[in-house]
Amino acid sequence: MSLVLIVSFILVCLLAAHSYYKRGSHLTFNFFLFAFIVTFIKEAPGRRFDGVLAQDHAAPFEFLNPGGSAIIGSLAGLVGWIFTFYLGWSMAEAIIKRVEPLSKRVFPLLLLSGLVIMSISYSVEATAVRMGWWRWKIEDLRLASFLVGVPFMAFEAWASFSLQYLLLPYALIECSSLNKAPWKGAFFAIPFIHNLLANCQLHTLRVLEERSVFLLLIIMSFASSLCLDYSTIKIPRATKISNSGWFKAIPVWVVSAMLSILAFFDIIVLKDYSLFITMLPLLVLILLAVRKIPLYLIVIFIIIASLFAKEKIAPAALSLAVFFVFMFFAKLKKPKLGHES
Amino acid sequence: MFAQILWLAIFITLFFILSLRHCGYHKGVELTFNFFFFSFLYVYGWLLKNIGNTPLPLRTARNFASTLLYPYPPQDKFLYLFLVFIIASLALACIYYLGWHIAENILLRTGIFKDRLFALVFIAGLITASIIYPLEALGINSGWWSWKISEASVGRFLPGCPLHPVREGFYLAVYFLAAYFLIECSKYRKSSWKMIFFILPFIHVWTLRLFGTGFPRFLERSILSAILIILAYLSPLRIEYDKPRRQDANIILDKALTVFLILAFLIICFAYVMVIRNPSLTISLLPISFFLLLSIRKIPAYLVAIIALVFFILTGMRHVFLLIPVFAVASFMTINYGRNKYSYLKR
Repeated sequence: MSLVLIVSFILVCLLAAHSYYKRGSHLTFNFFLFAFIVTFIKEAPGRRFDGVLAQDHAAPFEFLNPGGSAIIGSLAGLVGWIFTFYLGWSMAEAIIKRVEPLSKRVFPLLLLSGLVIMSISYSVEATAVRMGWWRWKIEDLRLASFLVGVPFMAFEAWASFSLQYLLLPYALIECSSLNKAPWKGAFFAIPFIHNLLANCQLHTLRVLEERSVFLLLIIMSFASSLCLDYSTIKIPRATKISNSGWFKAIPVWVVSAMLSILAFFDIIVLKDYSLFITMLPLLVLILLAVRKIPLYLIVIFIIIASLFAKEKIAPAALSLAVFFVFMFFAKLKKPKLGHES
Repeated sequence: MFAQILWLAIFITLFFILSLRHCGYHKGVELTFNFFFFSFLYVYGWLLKNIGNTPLPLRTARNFASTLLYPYPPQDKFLYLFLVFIIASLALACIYYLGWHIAENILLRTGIFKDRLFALVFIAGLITASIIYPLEALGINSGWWSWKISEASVGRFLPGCPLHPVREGFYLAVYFLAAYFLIECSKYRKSSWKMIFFILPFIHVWTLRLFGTGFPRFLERSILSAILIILAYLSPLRIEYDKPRRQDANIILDKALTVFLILAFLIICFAYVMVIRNPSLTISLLPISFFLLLSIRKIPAYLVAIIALVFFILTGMRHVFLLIPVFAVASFMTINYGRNKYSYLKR
């Protein structure tokens, strides 16, 4: 666990360097600061008034950290979340570049970020639960035949936590054309309301709110023309290293490294080859993020993989399907979108 | 009970609108929006954080919201509870603004400290605590709520009220105001790292969550107090605004705010005398009265000091805590006087 924590921390530092050269000090600082704050609110072990140290009892999962301290468990969660937030954001940016007219829009980027985060959660959850790092206390049989023992709620929770606590308010406040509005701080209400519902154990309301936000995000992805706006940001002067191809592709390298680590645990430690299936959606998204790889090759890859994985290829196929929907939409609205961009 | 809450809601909504207009007139739209929006979220989050997790340190009550709070609120009362807390949060947001406004006026007397950020935070925090004190005394003595962790200390430091809620009100305000002023109204407002100050309001919650209450809480509060007092007297950091502030007074708004404050005073006094039937509780209005007197520049400071001294002697020199406003302002004025008087020593 500690080794994974150290490796994750190094990868987060790499991502921070990537963010600094790509987005400048202001956006990088705020992204990682708020990622830290929201994650710490969620993951820090809590002491009740009677002094007992406990994870938030409202959470439907519990960390199994035999022999380890609660602080180490929280730190692992903290680094893991920051890592996921940035990967979701930057991978989505790389993927949406293939659909040029949509690449400057806020909501398609956010929807794709949610998809990347769900894919990350699929591979991480499957391995972590088998490794005994944490355990889900609930039984959720939705889509159980596609998901290898991980409740569907886990994926929803990863995506809604990432989107509502950080990415959605961050994108609207810092990176959209609303960043000059005097009332932009109002978007802080998004994580606040989500946190409120989560803490008050109003489960039905919380689920309703999560689904409504997802639905709204899908509608806004196609209906809203709100664009990304980095005009006020000072980008640091490029160096030889920051200009190199490998530096620009750091998110892809990092996510590949993460998959390799998970593959190591699946093959060497767990000796369970079936868990490879959980990596397929993320693999498809990595391929989509590398623009040099033609689309037809990715489609062929999915078709071949489906011969082995059968119905379990569905999550990976879904990732590709969402991308095709965006492509189709961009082609349909091409004259208008082209004019906007 | 419903009628009481309705009247309270109307009263506080009026207070909120008035504060919003007043702040908007003097400080502009962006500062006003951010101040009220974030103070509301801050206070509302603070009030609600206990519902899901643990029993509040509040308990009892014949009526009002806290009946529902102990030990756990019934599920069907959640909506009601949220509404009551919304009213309370709006009221506290307005009290913070009142603290800011009165502190600015008081500091105009203090020469070099008049636009110093940490002096403003310190005095505004004290004013907030002074406003919370009579409200707490009213709530506790009318049986709306009580503080189970500090019941024994009722009347020990402050007549009619335990020290805990007033002290916590001070710290709560200081964390928020320090973060707000550093981010929005200081020279750091243009820095790319200014949002680091956003962590300040979380320090208390994280201290409790990581280390628990008791000694860690005491240590955190002591460190905060020491840092704040040192910075209030020594830090030259100034309040700065993006756009020049409007200096001319809006007579209608100022008068409306004054009438509103007088009305609030009268209602509280009426409740002490006619409802609770304990006129001695009116003493809880003294700290905020001292602050209000000091904020009126036409009243000489020495006159306020004499009134405080007379009160102190008449009450048998017991209620020294009620004189904190006078001590705090007097210390700033004395330092300013000393600097002006002996400035030749520096040359």
